Amino acid sequence: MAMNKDLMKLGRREFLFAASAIGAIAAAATTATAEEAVNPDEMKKVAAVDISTLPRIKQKLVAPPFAPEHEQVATTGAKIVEVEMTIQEKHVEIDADGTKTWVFAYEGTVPGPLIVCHEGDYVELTLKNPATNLLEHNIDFHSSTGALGGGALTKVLPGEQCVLRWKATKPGVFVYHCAPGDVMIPYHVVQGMNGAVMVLPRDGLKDAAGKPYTYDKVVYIGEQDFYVPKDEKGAYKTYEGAADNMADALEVMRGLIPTHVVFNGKAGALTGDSALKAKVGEKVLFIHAQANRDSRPHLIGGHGDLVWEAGSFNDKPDTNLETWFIRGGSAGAMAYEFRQPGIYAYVNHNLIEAVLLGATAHVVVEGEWDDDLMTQVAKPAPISG
Amino acid sequence: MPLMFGIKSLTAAAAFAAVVAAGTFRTVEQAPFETVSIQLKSGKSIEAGREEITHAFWMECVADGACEHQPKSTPPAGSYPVTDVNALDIAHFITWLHEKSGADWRLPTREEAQKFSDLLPKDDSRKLFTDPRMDWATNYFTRKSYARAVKPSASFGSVSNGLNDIGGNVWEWTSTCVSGDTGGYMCPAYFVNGEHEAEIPTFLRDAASGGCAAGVPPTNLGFRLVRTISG
Repeated sequence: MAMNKDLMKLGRREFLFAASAIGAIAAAATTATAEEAVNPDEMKKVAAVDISTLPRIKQKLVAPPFAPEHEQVATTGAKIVEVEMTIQEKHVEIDADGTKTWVFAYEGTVPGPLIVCHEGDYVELTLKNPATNLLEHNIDFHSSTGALGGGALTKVLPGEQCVLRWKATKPGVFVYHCAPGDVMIPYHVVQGMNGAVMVLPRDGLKDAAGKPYTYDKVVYIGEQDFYVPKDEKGAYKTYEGAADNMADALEVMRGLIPTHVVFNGKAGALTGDSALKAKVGEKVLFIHAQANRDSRPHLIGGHGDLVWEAGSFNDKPDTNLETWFIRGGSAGAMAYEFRQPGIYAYVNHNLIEAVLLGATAHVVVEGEWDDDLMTQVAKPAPISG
Repeated sequence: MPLMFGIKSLTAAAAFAAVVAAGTFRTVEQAPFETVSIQLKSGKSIEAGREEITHAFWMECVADGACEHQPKSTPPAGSYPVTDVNALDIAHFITWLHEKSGADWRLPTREEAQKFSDLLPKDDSRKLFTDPRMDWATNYFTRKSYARAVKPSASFGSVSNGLNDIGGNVWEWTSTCVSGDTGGYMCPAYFVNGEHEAEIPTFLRDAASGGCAAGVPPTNLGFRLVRTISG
């Protein structure tokens, strides 16, 4: 059994932990003897990677839509990127009507902060679940390998913390999310408990011709579907405690029709006074993460110059797309150089979701208008002839 | 010479409530809500509702069977502006009010409504672009917008002519069609006055459901009524 081999690389405690997490399949695997799992030779293999000589950097995580300070091209060899996230269970507004829901937020934000590293680096996360929280949480990194993406090794009860180190072997953008088990998995994910990792190639991004590509800024967008229960009159219900909505929310979730589809935690989080800003000539890398549900980003008034639709930076980017697809449970990246000033809308081009459910961001772009690209030849006027 | 504004307080709210309760309306001369008289530069003077038409007043029209549309949310008891109404709903309301009172209440024109908001504190930083080719984008609103929850009438204060809630979180329909004279065809959209001017399709009751391609949409749609006194 292939799974046995993989599981044997884990220590006994982790092995059992993982086994319990994957339920019935793993239960069968446990019959393949726990003794093998602690075979000294196998343990040596795991320990053979001595990373004590690698440099360590602390990455200061920042709230979305921003990215932490990072190098696009790595100037050193592999390093250990230390990050820390504290989980906050909090009651927040998710639209202009004042609808409130509980979110479980890595580092207090929906989506959780973007983590950036290079291929070959190690990410070392300290995950804290304060005693003031109510629920158990963990983290599954799609960018990592093994133990359910780390989910089996990071279950922290309120008052606990843990440290997980994983090696970034695949360059690209990836989702991370909470996956505590059973119905708690989708429940936590649609309470906002997800985010993204960007693993850059050590020599940076390449365009479709294989030439180095440098961006001027990163915009990090986490799209979130919320399923807020309503009362018999159709008004959104509010709940006093962090998990009080669970029975009702699971019913709404089962219908698969979200009440809200928003960017960065709230309808309007990236519009008006919070609109994104850019300049003509600026190259912006948009990272779009959706941990649960398909989406189809589109930049109204612009294009996707380079699109890593499925997120892998080992793949050649698509070019000049009008709309691109983000599979539920993945992140994708798109680079665009703004060529006209004005207002752009970055939307989920299911326009019902964009306009009625909230999946709209705006970009205010400064610069000189280019008449060659567009000119209003005749203003709207009565039809003549 | 600045515009001349006189304020005449015609009715007290309590007196009005009594009148409505008794099922009688005031005559042509008497307004069914508090008003402010405003003399425009042209010499014309109008009488304008000090506040937006209230939800309670709207529901009188519904109870009479003259207004078919019942706004989807009911505010708490008290004086709250009606929202979630479109230009056609308002036409029904105005017809009802005319039949009740005999007075010619109407929506303000775009020019009249602009006079109301001219009195708001000027904030030039609101103009995003100065290039005329960027007119389409220049009214994009980058200042913090008001929250959407409808507040009691007069919550947003008054401008110097005594009108309340100009530029608050209820945007007000005007009678001016964006396409000018439609030659007998139905007007597709009207100017709406608020934090900035917007063009809102005739049928729309709620412009702010969550997103908007062109800019930040009006928070809520309501209205106030005016009538011509002279000129």
